Amino acid sequence: MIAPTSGLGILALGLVWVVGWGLFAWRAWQLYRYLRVGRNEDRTRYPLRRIRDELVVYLGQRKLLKRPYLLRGIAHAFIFWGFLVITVGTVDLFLSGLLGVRLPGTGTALFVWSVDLLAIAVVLSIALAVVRRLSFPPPRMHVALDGYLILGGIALLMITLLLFETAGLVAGVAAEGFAVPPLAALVTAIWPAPFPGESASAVFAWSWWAHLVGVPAFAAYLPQSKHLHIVTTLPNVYFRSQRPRGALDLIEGIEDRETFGAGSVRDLSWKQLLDGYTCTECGRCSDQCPALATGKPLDPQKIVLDVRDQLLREGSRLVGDAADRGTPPARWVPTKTEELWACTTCAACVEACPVTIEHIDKIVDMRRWLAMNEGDVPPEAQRSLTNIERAGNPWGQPPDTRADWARELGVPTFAERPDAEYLYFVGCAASFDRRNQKVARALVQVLRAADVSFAILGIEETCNGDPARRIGNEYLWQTQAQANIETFGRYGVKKIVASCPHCFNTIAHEYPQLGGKYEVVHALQLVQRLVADGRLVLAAAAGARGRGEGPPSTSASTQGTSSGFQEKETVAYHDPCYLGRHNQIYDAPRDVLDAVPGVERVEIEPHHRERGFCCGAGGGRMWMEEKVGQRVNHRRVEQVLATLDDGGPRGRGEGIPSTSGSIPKKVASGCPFCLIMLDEGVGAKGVQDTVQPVDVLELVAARLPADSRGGPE
Amino acid sequence: MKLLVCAKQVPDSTVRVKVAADGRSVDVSAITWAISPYDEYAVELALERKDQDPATTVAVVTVGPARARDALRQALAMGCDEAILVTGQGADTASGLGLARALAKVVEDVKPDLVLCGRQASDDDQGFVGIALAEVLGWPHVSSITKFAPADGGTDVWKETEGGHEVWRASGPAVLTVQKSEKEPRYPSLPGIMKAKKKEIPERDLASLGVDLAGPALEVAKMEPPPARGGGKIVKEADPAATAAELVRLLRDEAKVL
Repeated sequence: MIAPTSGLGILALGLVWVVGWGLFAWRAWQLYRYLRVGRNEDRTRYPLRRIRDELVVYLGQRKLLKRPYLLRGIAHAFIFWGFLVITVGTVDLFLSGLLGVRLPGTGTALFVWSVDLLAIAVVLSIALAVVRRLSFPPPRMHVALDGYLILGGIALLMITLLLFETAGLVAGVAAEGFAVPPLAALVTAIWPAPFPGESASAVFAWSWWAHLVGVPAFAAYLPQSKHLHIVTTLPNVYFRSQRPRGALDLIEGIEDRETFGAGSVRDLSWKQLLDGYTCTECGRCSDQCPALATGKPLDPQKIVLDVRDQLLREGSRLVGDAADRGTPPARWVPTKTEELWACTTCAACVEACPVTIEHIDKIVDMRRWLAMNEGDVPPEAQRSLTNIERAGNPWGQPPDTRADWARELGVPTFAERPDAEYLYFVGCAASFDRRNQKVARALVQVLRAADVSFAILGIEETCNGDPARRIGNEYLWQTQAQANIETFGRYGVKKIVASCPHCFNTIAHEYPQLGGKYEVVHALQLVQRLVADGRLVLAAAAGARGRGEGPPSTSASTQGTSSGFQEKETVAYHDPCYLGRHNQIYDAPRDVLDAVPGVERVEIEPHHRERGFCCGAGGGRMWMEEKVGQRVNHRRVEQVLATLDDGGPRGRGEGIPSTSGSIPKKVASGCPFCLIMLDEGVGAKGVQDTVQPVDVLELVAARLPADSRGGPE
Repeated sequence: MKLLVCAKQVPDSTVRVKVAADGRSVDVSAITWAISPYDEYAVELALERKDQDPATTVAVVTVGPARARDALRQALAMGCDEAILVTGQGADTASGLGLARALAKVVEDVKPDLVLCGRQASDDDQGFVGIALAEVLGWPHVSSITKFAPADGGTDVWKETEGGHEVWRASGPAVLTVQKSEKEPRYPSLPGIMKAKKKEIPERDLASLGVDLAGPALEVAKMEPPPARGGGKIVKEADPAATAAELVRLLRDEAKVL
């Protein structure tokens, strides 16, 4: 179309754009200056991975095109792609109106058709978005006027675009050499005179102007609203953390510092503050949060928005006075500490966020400040920290009993067998918790059956430090990590296998921060490899029974803590957060289960893999009381029951007498804390006869050929 | 207000204690040491007073071998203002009465308004030194306290009793022995730990106090660990009635307690 501008019109157009974009730039500059009060953090390494992320997450909208939000994800993707293409068209229109020049390629049929089809898709998507907000709003979404203003604004831009194209075609102002816009062509073909009388030129001019004034108006509004994400997502994705997700940030030079963690928004990094600008208040994180789902005061979206609100409110003060530290984020609202301590660091929020916001880092930074600066930790958690300090394990068990579980099996220590290939890092749970000691013994049997050379550290092992780090006591984590690294070094350890995902995660991804670099695998990864290589051959569990449980009596084997294994059994797999979401180890445990003869594996719909539901023990929650709302592990057991329960014999909890000798189905995990939590949940619900929690390793050990089981128990 | 807390370093509760070769003492070769838990509550109580009234100063003293310095560091990290280590010949063998006499000398120097001790140490559970200290000083003593606060003309002291508490008023200096209270001893903040690491801890030679370290003619004759526990037995029959019947049979015929 030939732009309806001349003389004063050109001047007005230029002025409107300068004012609109000027307001945008002024606010953007202000926001940028606030951002810079945050601490420095280098997020430029691995540029290729960052570019790949832009292509996949930003352009490809990968994190939106996912269940359970697929439909709205598609709608968003069309609005986004429409925005990208139509923006080029808008710039072209602006240039044609101001200078009478066109961008190359905007006259091609390809471009014209793209603009029209996308504009229609955008209008339809917006209609969908409005209907959804009005009639079935998503539970956690922050539905506010802002959202409608934005949707209305975009719709206005699209409608004026389609309108002036049609009116322009009728009025005969089509530019020479430009392809005919398809919608306009279609409308005029059906209905040659859609505008009454001679009004086509006026409609064209009005709608053209509405479109071209609308754009800078939108730009001026943008940085005042959550819609700023269309600008900030680009850098937010580019600068997303390229650390392994399970790794927290190292506090360097901890002995020489005076404050630790986030005592001020200044102590959050600029990227963490950018997260706040980028949040679109969509609520996907909150939808997935196990703490929120069970009635805790934590809402991950609020964690991000509180940081943003605090920055917007304190920003100008902090920019003006370098000595001003403002409010500690952990004290921003009186209930903040309860929110922070409710987090299990399960990463469901991080996984769900379409714009790569990092919730856990903020929560841990605030916890660090509470734990290290204020010494304000929930008393039960504090006790576990003191226990780690003094006894090297959070239970406070005598450290010289750490290897008692292994004594009868005659497991060698590295001191006894310095040439062992693998160090089995047992971890505190499998060392001291009676239920999990069975899992450690199972792994020993499996490794022996596959002829793997391994040894343990015995009483020289100490807590890996994970609970301390996640509770916020970075100093204690560093102390523990250094102690272990020293011990590993003394024995020249190169390969480590851990049966606990927390040990695995922190040794694999966090010990390198202190110089401890090893080849670390989780036990189920190793078992998967051993099965694939044919080094581990499993037999049917004919007449199989729990190991070391005495005779296979009919009813005794159905207790929660004993392991009766059947020839055929149904097993639901529960993804531990620190294997799954934090380390993307979804397939190895499933492959192992599929390799176990007689096991029929089922998924806990829809909460498996990326959408797995936490057991409630992560992030140091294992060591804190859970008094508010429903216990997370009880919710998880309900989900497991919904998957496994086919109307068979129910437990006491349902008021129906249990049938003795019935065979419970199993829920298998690969984490000692999940096992403890599931056991507790099953016990509390009285459903021991319906579902029995086990570790995958126990299912494997029960299928070892009789001659390879070896070793007395 | 000036407060003095007497603390003792004992084997940490997570340590599995072994009897030494002489059969009458604890093998200390592989022990993690810590402040005795009741003394930790005493420190906490003193620091709570300081939280409410920043003009309050809290000193902590211990009589013991050189390693007891670590216990004082912990108290400093929690927030105490100063620490005094009384050590030297006889510091780890002195009798309870001897310790009380030595502490009394420190009290005379420090001149606190109140002395707080744990109600008993977790190693020997004698509960003696605090009371003896009051006796040596000629000060009043209140036991099992969970709280204290300044009051008109003295200090109100909450003493735990069966099912409730009594409030006593001390009109002058007193020795208070502290019971476990609801508030757990605080976890030292990291800046507190770092500051405590750098703080000077003055040392006093026990011999220079010129006190008699001997006590009443008592000595430990023999130490024995508790007998090892046998394995338990889980009774589970086909139904609850049968389980109960089997349990009764076992209690009557095997355990012979019915």
